[in-house]
Amino acid sequence: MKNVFNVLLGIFTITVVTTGAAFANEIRIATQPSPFCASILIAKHKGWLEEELAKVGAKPAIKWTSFAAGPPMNESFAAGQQDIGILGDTPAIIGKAAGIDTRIIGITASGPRSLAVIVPTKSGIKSPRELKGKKVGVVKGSYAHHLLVLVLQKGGLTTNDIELINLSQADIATAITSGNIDAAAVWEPLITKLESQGAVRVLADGTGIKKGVLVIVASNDFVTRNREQTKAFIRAYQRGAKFIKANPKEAARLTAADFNLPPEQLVKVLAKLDFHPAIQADDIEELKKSEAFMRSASLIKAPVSIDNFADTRLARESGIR
Amino acid sequence: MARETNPRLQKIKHLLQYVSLSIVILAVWQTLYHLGYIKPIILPPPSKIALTFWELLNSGAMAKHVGISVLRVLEGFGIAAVLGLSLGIAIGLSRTFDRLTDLIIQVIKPIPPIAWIPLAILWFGIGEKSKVYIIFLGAFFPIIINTIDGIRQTDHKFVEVARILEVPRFKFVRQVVIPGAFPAIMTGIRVGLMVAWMCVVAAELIAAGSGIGYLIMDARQLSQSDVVLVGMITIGIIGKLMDSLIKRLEKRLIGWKVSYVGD
Amino acid sequence: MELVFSNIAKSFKRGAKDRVVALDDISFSVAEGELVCLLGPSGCGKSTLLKMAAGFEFPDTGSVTADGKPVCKPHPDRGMVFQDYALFPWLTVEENIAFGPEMNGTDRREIRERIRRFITLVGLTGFEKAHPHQLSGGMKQRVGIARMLAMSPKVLLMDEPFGALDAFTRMEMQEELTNLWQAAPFTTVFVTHDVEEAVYLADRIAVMTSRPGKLKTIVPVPLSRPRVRTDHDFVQIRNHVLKQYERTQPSAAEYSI
Repeated sequence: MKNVFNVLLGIFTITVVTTGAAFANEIRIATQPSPFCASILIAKHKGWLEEELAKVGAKPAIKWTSFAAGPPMNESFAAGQQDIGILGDTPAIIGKAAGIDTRIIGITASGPRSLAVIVPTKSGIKSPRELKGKKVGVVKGSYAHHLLVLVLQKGGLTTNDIELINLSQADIATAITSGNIDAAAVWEPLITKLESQGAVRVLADGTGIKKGVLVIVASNDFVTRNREQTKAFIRAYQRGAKFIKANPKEAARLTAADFNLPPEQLVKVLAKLDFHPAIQADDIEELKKSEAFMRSASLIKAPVSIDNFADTRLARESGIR
Repeated sequence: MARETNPRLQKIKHLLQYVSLSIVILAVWQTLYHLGYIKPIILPPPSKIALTFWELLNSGAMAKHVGISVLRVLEGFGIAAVLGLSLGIAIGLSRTFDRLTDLIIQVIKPIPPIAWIPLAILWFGIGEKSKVYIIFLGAFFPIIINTIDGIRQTDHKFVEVARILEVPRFKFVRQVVIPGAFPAIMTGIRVGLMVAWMCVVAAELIAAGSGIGYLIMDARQLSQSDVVLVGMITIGIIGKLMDSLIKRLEKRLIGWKVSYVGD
Repeated sequence: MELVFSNIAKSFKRGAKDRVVALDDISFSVAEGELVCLLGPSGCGKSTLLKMAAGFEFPDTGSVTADGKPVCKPHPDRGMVFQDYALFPWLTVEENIAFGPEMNGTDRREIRERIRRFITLVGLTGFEKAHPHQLSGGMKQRVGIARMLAMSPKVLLMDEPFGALDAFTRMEMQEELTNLWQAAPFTTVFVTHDVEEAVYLADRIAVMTSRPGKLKTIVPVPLSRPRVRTDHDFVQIRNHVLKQYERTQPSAAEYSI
C-alpha cells in the first residue's frame, strides 16, 4: 500500500513539475498565422534560429505553436506554456496588466497600413462618421480594437455609438461577406484576402493614427534562466527581417504556405510592414499611447509601466540596431 | 452521535452542514493565495472575486447581463416546451407517428447544441434568433423524450378502468393519460430548463454584445480571470434558483406524487 | 345480473411449440344477488375468468353471458375492483368517485348526490378532499369500490381486492364488504387465494385447481351473516374446502433429512 502511494506521489510530482515548466533544453515559441510573423518564420525555414543558438552553445528543442490571435496566446502564457511569443501591442499590454509575467524583448514589426477598418465594397459608408449605429465586428482586446476606437474618434464617435460585436477574424470574414455586419476592424492577411476577392474596401487604416506596433514578448522566467538564448533569438529574428527587406519576393514564396496567401498577394502585404526588432523611442511612445487607451477604455484595470515592460537593454545587448 | 431531538438545534446543525464545506474550501483558497502558492491570473482569490462581483453588481452591469441571458433562455425554453410537449404527446399516443419520427429524433438528439453554431449563424444570422435557436435545441430533447415516456408508461390499469367506465377516447387522453404523465413531463421541463440555461454560454458565443455568457467570453479576451469566475459563479447561482423555482412548481402541480427523499 | 360461464377453455402459447392450458372446460353460473368466490392458487386461471366476465379477455371456446347476452366488451354494468386500487392519484377521493358519472355526462346535482351517498356508504366521510396518497390501503380500496358503485353496476367483479392489505385491515374490510352487501345485495364475483376469506364472504365457493385450471367443485356456504370465524360450522366448512386441496398421492420429494 505504501509503495503504491509513493509511486502515485512520484507520478503526481513529476506531472506537476513538468507542466508549465520548460525543460532546460527547450524553447516554446508562439506565433500567429499572420504575415507579421514572417521574419521569425523565415529564420525558422532557413535554420537561422538553430545557427544563432549554436553560436552561444545551446542546442534546445524548438517547439512552435500557432494561435489565432493575441488573447488565446495570452492564456497559454498565463498557464506557463510559452517562452517567446509574437502578438499585437494591445493584447501584450492586457496580458501584462492581468499579471502575466512577461517582458517585451523586441519589436516584431510595425505597419500602419497592416491594420484597417474595412467595409463591404458596395457599402454606403464613406467616412468614419457614418459608422454611427452600425454593426462593427472586431476581435475584442486586439490592436485592431484600438484602431477602431481611434477611427471612431476621428468621426467624433465612441464605441457607445456603434454596435460592437466581438468576432474572431474567421467569423468576421463570413459575417462581412454575408452582410451580417456593416464594418470590421481587422489585420493582415485578412485585409488583402478580402480585397482581392472584391468583397471589401478600406475605410481607414492606421496611417497617421496608429503605428500598428507588434511586439515580441518573452516570459521573465525564460529570460532569467536563458539570457544568452534570448539574445540569440533576437539576432536570428533580425536576420529574418533583413532578408525580407532585401528579397521580398523570395520571402513571400518561402512563407506563403504559412499564411495561406498566394505569394503575389503576400508580397503586397509584406511591403506594408517594417520588420525591425530594435525597440526605438517612437515605439515606446506608441506603446504608451496604447496603454493609455486601454486604461481609458477599461480594457485594463491596473496600469502598466511601459518603461518597465520593455526591456531595451536586452535588445541593445544583442547587438542589433 | 445521538439524534438531535431539539428541532431548533437540529435546524442549525443542518444549516452548518450545508455551508461548512464551501466555507472551508474558500478559506483554504484564500490562504493559498496569500502564501503565494496560487498566481492570481490562474485562479483569483475569493476576495478579488467578491470585489469584482460587487463592482459589477453596483454598476448595474450584472443585472443587465443576467436579465438578457434569462430572457433568451426563457424564449428558447418556451419554444422548446410548446413544441416538445405537443410533439411528445402526439408521438406518445400514436405508434405510427412514433415510428415515423423515431430515427430522426434519435440521430439529432446526441448532437451537442454547440455543434449547431455554424449552421445557426448561416440560417439565422448573428442576431437574437440564432442564440435562441441554440438554447431551444438544448431544452427540446429532454422535454420531448420525457413527455413521450410519461405518455407511454400510463398505468395499464387506468386503461382498464377507463374502458369499464366507457370513457370516450379524447376525454381519456385529456383526463387520464396526460395527468398521469405529469410527473415525467415535469422532469422533462426541469431538465430542459437546466440544459437551456447551460447552453446560454454556448449560444452567446455567437457574436453577443450582452449576456452572462458574453461577459465570460469578453473577460477571456481581456485575460480577466476574476470576471470569468464571477460569471461562472453567477451562472451557477441563477441555475440553482431556477431549479428551486421549478421544484416549487412541481410540488404544487404534482404534490400527489410521493417520492423518496434520502435519510 | 346473472352471469353464466359455459365450457370455458383457454390456452396460451409457450415457446415455439408448447401450449399451456390455462382453463380447462369451466362451467358455472352466478345467480342474481349472489356472492360467489373464485378460490384457487396462483396460476389456476381465476383472474382470467374474471377478466372474461369483464370483457378484457375472451375464451378460446365456450362463452360468458350476462343476463343471457354474450360479454364482448367492458361496460360499467360490470364494474371491477383491482388489487392495487388503480385510483387516479391526481384526483381527490370525491373526484375519483365522480369520475365515471362525469365522463358519462351525468348532471352535476346528480353527481353530488351520488358522491355524498357513496362516501357515506363506504365510511369515508371527512375524507372527500383527500388525495389517494394520503389514505391507508383499506381506505383506498373503499374508494375503489365506491367508484364502481357510483355507476350502479349490475355485477361487481373483484380481483383479490384485499390482497395488498395487512391481515387485520383485511378482516376489517371483509366485514365492511359484508355490511355493504347485506344492505343491498348485488351480484358479486370475488377472486381470492385466501380460504378463510372465501368462507367468510361467499354464498358459494368455486374451488379451482391449477395446471391445468379446472373447477374442482363448488362448495356452498349456507351460514348466516355476519359470520364468526371461530364458529364451529365456519371451521367445518373451511376444513372441507382445505381438504379439496390435499394431495391425493404423496409427491416424490416429500422428505428430506
